[in-house]
Amino acid sequence: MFWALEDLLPFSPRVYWRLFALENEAVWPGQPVALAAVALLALLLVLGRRPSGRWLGPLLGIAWLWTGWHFVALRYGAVNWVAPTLAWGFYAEAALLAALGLSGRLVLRRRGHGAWLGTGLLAAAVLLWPALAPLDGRPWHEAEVVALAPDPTAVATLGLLAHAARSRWTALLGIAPVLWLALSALTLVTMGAWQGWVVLAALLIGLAAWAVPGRIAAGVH
Amino acid sequence: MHLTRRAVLVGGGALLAAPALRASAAEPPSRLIPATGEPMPSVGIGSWITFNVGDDPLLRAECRAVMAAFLEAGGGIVDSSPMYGSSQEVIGDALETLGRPPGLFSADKVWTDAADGPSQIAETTRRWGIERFDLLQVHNLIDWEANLDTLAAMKEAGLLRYTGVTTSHGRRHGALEEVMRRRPPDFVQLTYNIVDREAERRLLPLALERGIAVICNRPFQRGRLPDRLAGRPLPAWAGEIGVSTWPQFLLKFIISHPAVTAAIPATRRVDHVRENKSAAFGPMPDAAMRRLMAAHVQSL
Repeated sequence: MFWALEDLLPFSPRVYWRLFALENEAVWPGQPVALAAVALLALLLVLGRRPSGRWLGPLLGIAWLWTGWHFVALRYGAVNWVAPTLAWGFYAEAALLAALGLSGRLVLRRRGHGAWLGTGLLAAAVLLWPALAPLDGRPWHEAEVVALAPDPTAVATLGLLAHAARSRWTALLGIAPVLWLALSALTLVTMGAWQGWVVLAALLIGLAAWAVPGRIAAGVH
Repeated sequence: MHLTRRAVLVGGGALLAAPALRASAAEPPSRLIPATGEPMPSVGIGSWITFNVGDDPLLRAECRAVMAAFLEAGGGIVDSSPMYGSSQEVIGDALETLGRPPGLFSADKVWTDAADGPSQIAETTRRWGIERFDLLQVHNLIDWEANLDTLAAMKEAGLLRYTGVTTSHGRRHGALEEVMRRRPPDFVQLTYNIVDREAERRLLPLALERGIAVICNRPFQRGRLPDRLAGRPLPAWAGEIGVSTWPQFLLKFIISHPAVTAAIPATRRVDHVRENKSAAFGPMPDAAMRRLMAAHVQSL
């Protein structure tokens, strides 16, 4: 006899996926608003525009605060007693995003391959993540929506950070999404869900996007 | 606790494939709790994972249906823990909805150090919505001596009927043996199934010797055993012990051990509840048949 990783998960896959159905029901019509906002951000980046971190940081911070509180602490916390503790990582990320954004330390002006990878992650957060549920044969109402569900929010954040000028401050912003995505991938793979590999791939792409040398665009935030 | 007509019918239904067993279907499928001689249905229900459904109304309704089927089929021990997420609240919700029908043997655990034990027990009691527990156990031997002090004091004061200590996954059997020798509780809970049989060596004989009731968790290895056996034919001699499905086979192996008081399979399906309950009916395998059963599963 031995402990298997799955023995450490106190909930079933069905219960986990149903959390998103309940969340979507509770926050409607927040989904189109959130999707449109992040899609607009991705479009601006594709068009070479550099949105100001002064408003982007706090806005993304609100997404982390909401996701951490409403989904991770309350919804996920109802079936996983570790989740409310994990939510503190979301609150910290929210505070850091707001602080760095408002102080002008979050500057989106990197260009190059890393930035393109980042844009790809943003697009994946908007387009791919909601489609994971139906691709898995589950109903649309279990879709994971960026800014409302933790995985696509973390993926989008890594995508955005790939556009940010590097500094120790922006590196700090990567800690919470990287740790969350690693934990989420482990959880999903342990559940036997193939989506775990998608999360892991997004995490690796996010790290690669950060690591790839880029050039700093001229101009200011 | 009493057998309802439905429980007998359920058991009888499972035995249709073995006509010679029908006469024994009316036997109460109970074992006696050594400390008091009180009968207890030998198939209970666990709540790890299966009842941890949070606030989901759809899944809560399914849990209520499982509890209703379990109690209709004779009831018995319902086991939970503060570690099991929302399971306690879901059980409490089901009991409230069902009007607290008879047949429940309420069992939960204290899963913290002794200083916080009383407040955790109070919260657990509130979640179940009952006045007192039949059985409270020290979860995974956490701070077991001091926590057993608390439970013993509750029992002395009439706030609790039985005390217990638990372990799982075959862990800490040495420590559990020490508890059973030094300060035997009314119940121990451990992992025992047809492939995890470490407990047979010392703990089950010791339980018999000391008059300690034994609750067996993980009877299906969290579903792995039925999954592994699914699609394979039962041995031809399965009919001799009134078995027509693999879950019955697996449960019958456990509850036929002389030291075992009950097994607590967890399920979220009503048909599985009935199938599990039916394992308690009919003839039980003797020692020789049990060896044959274990060897057969080992060979597959």
